[in-house]
Amino acid sequence: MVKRYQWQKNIVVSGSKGSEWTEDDIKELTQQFFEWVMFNNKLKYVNRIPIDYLSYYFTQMFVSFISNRIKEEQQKVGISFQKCQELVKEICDEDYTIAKHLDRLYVVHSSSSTDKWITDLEDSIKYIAHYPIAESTKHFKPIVKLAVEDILVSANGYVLIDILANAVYQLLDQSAFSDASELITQPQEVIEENKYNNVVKEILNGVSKTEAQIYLKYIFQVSGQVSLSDLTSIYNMPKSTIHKKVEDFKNRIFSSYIPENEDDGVSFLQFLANSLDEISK
Amino acid sequence: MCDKTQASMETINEFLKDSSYSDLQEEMLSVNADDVNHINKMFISLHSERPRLSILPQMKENQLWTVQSSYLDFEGNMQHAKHKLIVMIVSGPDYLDSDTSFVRVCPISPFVEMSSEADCICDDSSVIGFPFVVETWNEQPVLTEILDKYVGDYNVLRNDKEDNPTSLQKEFREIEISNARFLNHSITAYINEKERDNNFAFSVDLHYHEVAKTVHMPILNVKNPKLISLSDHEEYAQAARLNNFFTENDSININDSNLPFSIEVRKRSGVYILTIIPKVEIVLTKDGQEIKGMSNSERLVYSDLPKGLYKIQSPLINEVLTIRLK
Repeated sequence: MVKRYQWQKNIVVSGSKGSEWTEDDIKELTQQFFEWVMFNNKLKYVNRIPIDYLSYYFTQMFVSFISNRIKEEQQKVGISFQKCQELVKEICDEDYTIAKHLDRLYVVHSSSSTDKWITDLEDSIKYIAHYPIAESTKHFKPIVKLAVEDILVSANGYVLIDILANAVYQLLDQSAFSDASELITQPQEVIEENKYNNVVKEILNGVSKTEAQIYLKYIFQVSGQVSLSDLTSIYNMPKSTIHKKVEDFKNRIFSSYIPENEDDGVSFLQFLANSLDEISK
Repeated sequence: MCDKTQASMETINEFLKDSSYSDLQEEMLSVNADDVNHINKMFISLHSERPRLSILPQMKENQLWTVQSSYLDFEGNMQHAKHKLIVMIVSGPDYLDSDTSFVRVCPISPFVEMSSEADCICDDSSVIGFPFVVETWNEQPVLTEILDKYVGDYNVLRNDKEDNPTSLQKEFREIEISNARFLNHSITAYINEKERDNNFAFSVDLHYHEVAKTVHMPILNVKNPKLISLSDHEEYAQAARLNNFFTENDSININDSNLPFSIEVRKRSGVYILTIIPKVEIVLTKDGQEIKGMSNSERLVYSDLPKGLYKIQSPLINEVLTIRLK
């Protein structure tokens, strides 16, 4: 099914590189599927299911599981350039006037006071504020719409549609989807202990010594780069279990504290790492 | 609709549209004994005896039934479902003739994530083992003879919300309605057959060894009876092809090289006589009930059979032979 429907490999937690599904990836996917089945109590009343329906029920559960994983992955990657391009095209068709000039399509705002044909937006977007996209953002279209409006007003002329999508994409702030490990490689600032104390306490509530070690090693990379496979061997736990713990912990971090700026975020994570270090000893 | 939900719902529609997912080639993965033991252990705690219902209840509204995965339709063709179906009876049964009844049903789908706000969802897994959506927008008539097993009862709670399905939900409904043709085809085939069955004295549909065949007996006691054109899987009884005169003594003979016995069917005074030659060990059933015949050293004879669908099982053949007398 993985091959027939060409599901992307990023739906499975994998140690292998590349986009090809390996035998190990398939096993991992199967294991994660069963974990999902158990976690969601899908077999609680399995004895009520007509026996000749069971095969289809398992197939249906598998498709639902994949569908769910795709949804989760999309929440991690924000909006793709392709999706942004599609939305820009859709918005231009719906809300603005489109004109053809030298065989290329341009879009213009109704308030435009000039007839210039614009093929470079660098100056126009220089002073426009960025639009943050968070993990919780469910609808991209309203945000893209605002960006299109701002750019067209600022450009004040006929804008080449092809470059408009580029400019909009540049204005979307998707830093919320960066990996936490990247953030702590930035320069450290003064730790504001009192400010973070309560939040960190809440995040670390119930975290065991082993879990603290796992988070430090995998998220904060304190002992160099380690993969899930490495952690599987060290702690004798299934890869998917470790992945789930790490993902839950990351979600807890990002839902508990919203940094004021990049430096604040770095300081917060440093404070969190120090506190984890205490637990891990 | 949420942009992020779109691709995940497309995954489900893509799967449902695929008519050949069940033909997927299996690939062997190297799984060792420890892997198997581990998975087995995961299931041990879930082991329980499956309940068995020995008597099928009378069909009525709000019952959930499984549907046979394949059936021999009234035109003599074997129909196969893409996957096992469960339906909820919403009305009936009503009768098409003295022996053929139908009910109106709504299929149920386990893909509750594809439902709209106005859909009727059963969240209680204890009813049939999993949550499901009742496809009230996909009501179909279906012959009762293709319903298989009684599963349970469920009363649909009225949902008064306005129905505003998204484009993907609309697509899901179109796919489901298209897949449900397997159900209403049972009625369509019956009607098609009814429109032309006055051209024949009687007919026999047979399905065995992946081959469906229909043999017709022309009108009896008429010289040079009118013969209409037939489709590929149909033929006239041997004598009819020679343009003879037929009486009630004439029979439809089925001699198939894949069968270790031949079958003769006659119709006298409105009932059928089925003869198996030579006498071999077989079990003839109708609606799951065994029918007893008479025999001598050469043949087995089943007389006074009403029209309908019969199954023949024998240790001499590997699969069940399905035969419809009509």
